[in-house]
Amino acid sequence: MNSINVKVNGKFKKVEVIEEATLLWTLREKLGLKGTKFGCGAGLCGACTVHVNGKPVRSCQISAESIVGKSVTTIEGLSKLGDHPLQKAWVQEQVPQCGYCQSGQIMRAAGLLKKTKSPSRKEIVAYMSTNICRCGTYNRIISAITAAAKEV
Amino acid sequence: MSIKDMKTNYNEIKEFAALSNASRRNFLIGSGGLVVGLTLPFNKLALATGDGIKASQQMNAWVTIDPSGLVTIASPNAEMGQGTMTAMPLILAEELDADWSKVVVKQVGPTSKEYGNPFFGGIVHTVASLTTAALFDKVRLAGAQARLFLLERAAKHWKIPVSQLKTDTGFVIHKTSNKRISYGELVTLSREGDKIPVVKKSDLKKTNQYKLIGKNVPRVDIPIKVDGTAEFGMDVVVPGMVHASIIRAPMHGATVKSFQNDNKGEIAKAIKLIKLPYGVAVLAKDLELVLSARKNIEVIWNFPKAGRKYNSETALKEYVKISEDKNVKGVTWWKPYFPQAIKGKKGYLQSALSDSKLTKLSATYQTEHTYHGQMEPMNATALVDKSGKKAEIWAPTQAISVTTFAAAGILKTSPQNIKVNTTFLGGGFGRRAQVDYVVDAVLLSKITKQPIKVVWTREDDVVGGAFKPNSAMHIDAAFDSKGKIEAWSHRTVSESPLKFYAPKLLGKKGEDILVMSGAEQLQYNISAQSADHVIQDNGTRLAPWRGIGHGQNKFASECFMDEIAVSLKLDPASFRLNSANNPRTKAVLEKVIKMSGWGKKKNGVAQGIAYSDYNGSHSAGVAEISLDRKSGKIKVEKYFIAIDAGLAILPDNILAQIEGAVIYGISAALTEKITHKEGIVEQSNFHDYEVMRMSEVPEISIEIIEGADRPSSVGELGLPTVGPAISNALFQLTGKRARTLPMTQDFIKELIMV
Ligand code: FES
Ligand code: FES
Repeated sequence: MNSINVKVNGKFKKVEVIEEATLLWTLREKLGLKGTKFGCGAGLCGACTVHVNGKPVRSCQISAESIVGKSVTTIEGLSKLGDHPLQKAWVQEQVPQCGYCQSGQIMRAAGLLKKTKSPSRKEIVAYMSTNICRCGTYNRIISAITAAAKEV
Repeated sequence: MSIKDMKTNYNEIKEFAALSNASRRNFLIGSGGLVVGLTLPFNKLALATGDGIKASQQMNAWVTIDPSGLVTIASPNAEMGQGTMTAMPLILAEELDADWSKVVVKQVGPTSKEYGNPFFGGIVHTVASLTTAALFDKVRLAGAQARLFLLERAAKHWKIPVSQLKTDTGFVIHKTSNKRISYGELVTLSREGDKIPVVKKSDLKKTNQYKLIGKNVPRVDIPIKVDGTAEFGMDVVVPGMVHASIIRAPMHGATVKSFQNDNKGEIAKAIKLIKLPYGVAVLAKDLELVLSARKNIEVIWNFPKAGRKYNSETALKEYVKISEDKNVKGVTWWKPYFPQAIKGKKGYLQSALSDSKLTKLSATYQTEHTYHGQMEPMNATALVDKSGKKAEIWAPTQAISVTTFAAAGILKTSPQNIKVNTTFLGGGFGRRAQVDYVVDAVLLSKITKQPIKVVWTREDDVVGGAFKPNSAMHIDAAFDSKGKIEAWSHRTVSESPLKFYAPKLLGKKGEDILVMSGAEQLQYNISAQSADHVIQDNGTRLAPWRGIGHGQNKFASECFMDEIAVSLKLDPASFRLNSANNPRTKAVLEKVIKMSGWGKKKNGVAQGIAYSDYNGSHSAGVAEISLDRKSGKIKVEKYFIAIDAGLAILPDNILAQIEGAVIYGISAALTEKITHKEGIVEQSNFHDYEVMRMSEVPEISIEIIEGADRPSSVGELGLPTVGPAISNALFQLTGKRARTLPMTQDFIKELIMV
């Protein structure tokens, strides 16, 4: 076990992790941040997407060690009251079905809006195709991002 | 406990899981109609309690009202994104005339008989798009009964007859004086002389009186699904919990011969290994340690000989041959579901099929195994108590009652001793109608006497998946020059999911509804028709998959309808319209023809049409596709679909369900297949089992027709038209008929080259 200091959602925490610990399981199991989901563990689905230093990454693919000295944001830290423009748009457009992929979708979308202020449909599709939604909420995700972009 | 004991138990579990005391007859044959005058048993305590107390009052198994007016409505079914947690309470609230802003929905276990689904012999089982359809009357009655109860309370209180009172959004109102009393206040009044009201049909609202139904009330589970707080099975935490991951047999029926543990030092000390009949479980407090340690354990398996012979692609070729072989006798599809099987004079079917004045046509279709690919891998948490006879389970499961039977089977106790907490499900699609993940957790908790959470990896979930069966469908038909179909005979050759996981639900001769649903063509005028199936058994794991039998059977029959139309030089859409015998079938067809601008052809884009019914619902779809001839890649540019699922409780949610099913269907039609080599699944994760991503999603247009005043199935309804509509469009585009699913690029390249 290694002891590491991490900064997650603005707070510093000390956690005990195994040597090959990933950020995903560290967040979920050690910090109790269950909003970040395990979908494939192989960098293929995007359910585990969080921000490291403001950029979306797949937390199942990076080590816990690698975030030392960096700042991590999870869905729980995206906004204080769950009222980020994307979250509001997600409710407005009634996007989630089962909901399991949606934390990852929202974190990915937040990464897009940081980079591109008002993305075109084409840009949204190109950027968001990293994330799988097996329930097929894709078209609603596009509408929600488009709506949120107007608010940001 | 020895391995032998566990094995016996495992068989028992399967029996139990199968049992679910659902009598065959009840399966899918609904009670229909409204049960008038039915009373729901009031909570005894509620009736016995004294005056004016501040406590909430349970009206019946479904609804409780507290003095502040908060209305708590029970939701016993599995919420997997289909919206049951909103739709069912909404129907109840409608009849209760409740203030929706004061309604709280509470997920409950299968604790009351009232929650049982009559379609499934009275158990709580969330499958086949049959929750709203089957429980509509029950929850209406529960709401209406509670409303009558409150009316009678108010009448007693004010000493005026009930006939002078009405309700409005959480209040009882005296019609003439406009005096009002809230539901919350009524709960605090004297309970003396309370009686259980009997609901008459006239007490129920008429469609035009609905205030909530049909009004696009937002889903109650959505806010917690955008901030990460919704609890899925994967998120359950129980104090003292130990994590487990199981290195599972790569083939059904394989057992552990031996295993070697190469973990050393600290890690070896931190983990515990338990040999199960079907795998080796690795346990530790730290989940990531478990996942990492299991990589250093190698298991040698005993493979069942028969299963080892299974090569799914070769087998499917064999199924095709069997489907075309008139010497093979099939099992006739069940009469109750398929009255047309005996329609027409005896022997007419055969004589028509050999009548020289009629045109004959035959074709064979095939579909491969598909995987559910729900986003949340299988998992469950269980705590067996010290006595070993009681357990609490937390599971994302569609098979809620079956979970209690399975656990009771393992613990040799009664299902009453099993408490189930149904979490949110990260997708179901039929996979979670089985309980293998629950069995894992209960077995391990029984052995360790600790709370155990079992987590499957995605690779476990694929390799240990339970798939849609491999199927070959052969159809023979005879029709006249105007397109009147005189005879239609359908055969499906496939493996049987029910035989695999619930053999007691099979018909007397082995009839499997999961194979045959949709093989009947009830909405077309066909003078005589029959359907039969020939069941194959290769020892693979099987499950229902979204769309159930309609997936493969409608692929065959709706492509075949096109083939008939083409052979007669008729327009495929008009041919269907002229063959339709049901106004609701005609209505969805007419609607989709209009929506899609049917008939126009653009450069490089073609349309194909298909129709499907599903448990009393109707759908007609038009796929507009293009094709990259070099790569063989089909792109669905647009999909139009008109549906009629009767009364639309949450119209916007219906749109979401249909859209999701269309995408699920396109994904399956174009890329998805699971193959087995020597009995072992060849795929392992989303890189070699590709599901649709946003880049492939077409524009989808949906229109809803409400052809009835009660709801019928929605969740599966968007799927069956997709495969055939795409294949029919491909024919328009290329003149080549794809009779195979999935229509992969390689397959299409070969097809258009010939
Ligand atoms: S869980 Fe990380 S990409 Fe799928
Ligand atoms: S909402 Fe279910 S996987 Fe996206």
